[in-house]
Amino acid sequence: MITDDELLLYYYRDGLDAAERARIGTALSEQSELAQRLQTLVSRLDAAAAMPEVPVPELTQRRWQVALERAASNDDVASATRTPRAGRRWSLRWPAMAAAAAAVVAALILYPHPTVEVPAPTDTPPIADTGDASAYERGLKVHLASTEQQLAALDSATPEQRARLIETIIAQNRIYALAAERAGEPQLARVLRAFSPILEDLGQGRGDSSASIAQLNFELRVMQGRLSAVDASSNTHSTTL
Amino acid sequence: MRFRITMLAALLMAGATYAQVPKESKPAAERAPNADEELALAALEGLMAQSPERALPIIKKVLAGSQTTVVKQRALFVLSQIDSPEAREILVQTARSTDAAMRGEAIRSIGIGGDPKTLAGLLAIYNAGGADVKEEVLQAWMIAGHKESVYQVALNAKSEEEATKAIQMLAVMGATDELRKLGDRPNASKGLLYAYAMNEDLASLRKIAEGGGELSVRIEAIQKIGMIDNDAARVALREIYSRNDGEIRDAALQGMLMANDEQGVLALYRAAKTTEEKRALLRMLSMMDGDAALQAIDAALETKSPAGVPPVPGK
Repeated sequence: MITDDELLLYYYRDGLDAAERARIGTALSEQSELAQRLQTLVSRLDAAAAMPEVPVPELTQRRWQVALERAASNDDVASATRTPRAGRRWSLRWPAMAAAAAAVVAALILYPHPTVEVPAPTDTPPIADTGDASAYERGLKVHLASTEQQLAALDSATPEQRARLIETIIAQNRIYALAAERAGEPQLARVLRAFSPILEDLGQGRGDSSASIAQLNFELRVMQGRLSAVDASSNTHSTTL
Repeated sequence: MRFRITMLAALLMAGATYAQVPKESKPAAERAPNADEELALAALEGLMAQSPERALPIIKKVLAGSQTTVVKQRALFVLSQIDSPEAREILVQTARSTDAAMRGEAIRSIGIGGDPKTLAGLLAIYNAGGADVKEEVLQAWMIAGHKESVYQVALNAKSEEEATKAIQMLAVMGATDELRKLGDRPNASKGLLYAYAMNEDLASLRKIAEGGGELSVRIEAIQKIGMIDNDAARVALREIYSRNDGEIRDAALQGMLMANDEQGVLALYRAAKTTEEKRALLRMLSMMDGDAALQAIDAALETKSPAGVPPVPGK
């Protein structure tokens, strides 16, 4: 059984280990009901993300802080008592991860620059940080790489799997475009939106699919290169694209 | 560093030698790149690690050189990532080109670039272009999130078809305010109703449904409420059904069918006061083919309902 929270973590590339990600990825490609649930979740997040930005009340921020601290503290206690079995470790870590996931979603919806960390109560809304990569930035990089992999898998997929996979990519892409917009990265948001018509053509079987896939792959790689260049730039202060 | 940029330039300029490939069955822009083109594309990717000052001259040479269309198209995408007036000017010039494949990619790249002045300049290309160009420009505005331009096109459309395409794009962009402004004009387009439904804008649909406009538009607005998958829409349809009769009531029922609101129809069935109404609602429930239908059918067969559901022939 895969919960909505796990699907959410899968989407945000946060808090799941490689095995869990692989398990959910496989399940998504095999179970239409699960893919449908993911779609519904994405639709809800889309609707939520479309809400006007409002300052987060200080009380709410404190509640997040307390939840995170409590979760972290639970995690510490669990760490001291846990056995080395992976399954056990997962169940003990879950409250912390769920809290972190909730914080990510809340931050994504309510803040211009979402981060995993809930900001400390403050009178002014947080602004984009330029330090360590945020959950969004890490997630975006993984999204670009995973989209490239998913596109590669299209050739060997059955028509049903292919349709589901493309729908999933479109949904993921839409949510990352929204996240990019909110993170103050309009350039990235535009590129992600530019993928949509090509993906829709692919889904509808319009045009030469190998040409569309090649174009998407190229643009995905360019964007990955751009993100890497920006990272390098922030480390060396050099001017890049 | 110097060696690297020289290598990239050499790879990209090499197009002059290998671009002389045999004629292919498909235009370059409509097929996957061949091995030689893949090499040039890898070199273009490498440009992303270079400064705009270094990358721009190489891209210009690629665009002016003998590379295939597919390589030049990808070069336009890379160009869209360079924030410089010269890069934008090249995109504008290419967007005016007679080469449809290059023009389309340039228009898309202008959308990706997102420069407001260049995006506004697309209006002239839109107005002068045919259906394909218009579609490409609308998509570029969608990519850029440039709602105002799409709204202006919808507002000034010369045909219902043109207006519908712009309205659909506004719906894709989630441009609720712009769509509502269009709805305030007389004779709301039917494309607008679909856009409201896509955006789950119940208030706008209800305003038209319950307004004094043309009956056929009101009916369609009511039916479109059925496309909105939430409780508020289901309640609205039940209310419209209860407060009206004739075609408006039928439209509400069709909306409920579309929304698969069998509980709503069952509630109406139970509250129905005439045999005729009960029969119509029972028929609708049967079409929905759910548990509620069975309940109603069971009740109709088991009891001699005060409303007098007629016996089913042959039973």
